[in-house]
Amino acid sequence: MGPRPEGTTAQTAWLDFVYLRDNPCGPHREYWHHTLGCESWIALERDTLTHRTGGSSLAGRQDDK
Amino acid sequence: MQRYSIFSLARNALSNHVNWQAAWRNPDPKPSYDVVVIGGGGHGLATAYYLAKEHGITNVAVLEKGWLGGGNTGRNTTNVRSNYILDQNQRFYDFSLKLWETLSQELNYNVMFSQRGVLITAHFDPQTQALLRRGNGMRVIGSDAVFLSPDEVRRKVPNLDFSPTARFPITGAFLQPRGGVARHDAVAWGFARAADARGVDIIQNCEVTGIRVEHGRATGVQTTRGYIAAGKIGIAVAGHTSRVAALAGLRLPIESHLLQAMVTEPVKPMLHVSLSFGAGHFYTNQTDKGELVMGGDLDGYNSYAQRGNLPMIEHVAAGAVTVMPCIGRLRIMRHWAGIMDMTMDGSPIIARTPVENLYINGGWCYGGFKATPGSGWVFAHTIANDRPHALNAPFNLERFANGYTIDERGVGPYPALH
Repeated sequence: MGPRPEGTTAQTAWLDFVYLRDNPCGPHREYWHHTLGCESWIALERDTLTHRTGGSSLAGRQDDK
Repeated sequence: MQRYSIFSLARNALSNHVNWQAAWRNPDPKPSYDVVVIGGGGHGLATAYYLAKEHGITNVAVLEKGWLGGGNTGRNTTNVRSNYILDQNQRFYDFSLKLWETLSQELNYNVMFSQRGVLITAHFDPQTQALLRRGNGMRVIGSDAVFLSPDEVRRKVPNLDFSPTARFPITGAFLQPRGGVARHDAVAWGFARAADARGVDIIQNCEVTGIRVEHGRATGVQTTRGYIAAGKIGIAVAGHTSRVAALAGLRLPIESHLLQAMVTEPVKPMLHVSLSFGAGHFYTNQTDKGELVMGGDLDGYNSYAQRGNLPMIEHVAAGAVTVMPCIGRLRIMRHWAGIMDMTMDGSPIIARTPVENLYINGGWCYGGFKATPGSGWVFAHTIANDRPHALNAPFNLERFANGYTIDERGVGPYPALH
């Protein structure tokens, strides 16, 4: 999912943001919500083919690009 | 094609079964075909069969990267039903169910379709109201649905927890009597044999690695067995639709998720319907071997791994012993997962694409098996005429842009929730 298309009402931009997905088979970066704990959002590297997890960081920080 | 019958069985028994023909040929790919279907699962093989039978297009190849029916066709829990509430879904799935009813005769191959009924238990008033509404929706378009009283449920499925202390007392059940189960491998094999008999080339161990697009038009596929030119190309690889469509530069409203299933040790006949627990994630049916095959819900994270994790197995088992305590001591023999093409509205895509001569049949979420004959029939129609049939016209790609999504559960663009 790309960044939220601010400042535009173009249909293609919003179609892309709301509905289309890269759906990678392999390395993937995603967000997890620590719902029953500290409620932090965590950015995690995960391989969708092997389920191997890589690095994680708190979402929204400098190192979360 | 050597027809199967009681006479051919007797004749071959007398000759010690050494004269049976192979069910289909094993040809090398030709340099070009009128239609190339990517994916040798039930949907791809059914598409090829109906292209040949309904539209007279026999110069067709089905390309399969592994073996026939080795993907989701052989991994599902074999349920066949048409119990939807949205018009577009119900009309399409009921058409498919009608094809199921004569499929064994049509293919001269026993797909072991057993219309034992698909039953969903009811436990709460709002849920009962929702099931009644769904049943009425089905009956309006001429399908079958009945609502059972607790006594009727008890007579039909005596092994459920009807005790006064049941955690989820059973207040009724929703039944589609025409629903049931079929032998999933036989569906792939039956379509393959019948398509082959009409001249379709079925090519296994042939992975598509590229789709050639020239001036917005698909013209052929690059494969591990060389380049194959194609007049038209149909993609039927649910689970991997995003990846194969990406070969032609398409980006789709699909996310791949895993769905687990498992099977117990075999026991004597004890369950005579296909059962869904209405208060949790658990559904099951008893196979002809006596095993209970069961499944639940998605693990919840996107995955291509074909295997899941233990929390969901425990969750399904908890549902199982809640509604059917008598199976608590059965052992699980095998467990596996399949890759589900989850779309953003929970409904499939059977449609033309922005690339000319390229068609997509995918996004089956976890409901693809029951659609197999109907899906092949409408996809063949779409490819042959370059326009959809009325039954699959709603399942186009443009619906996401223009606001005509078909969201059976009403949860919005969250693929893991459908």
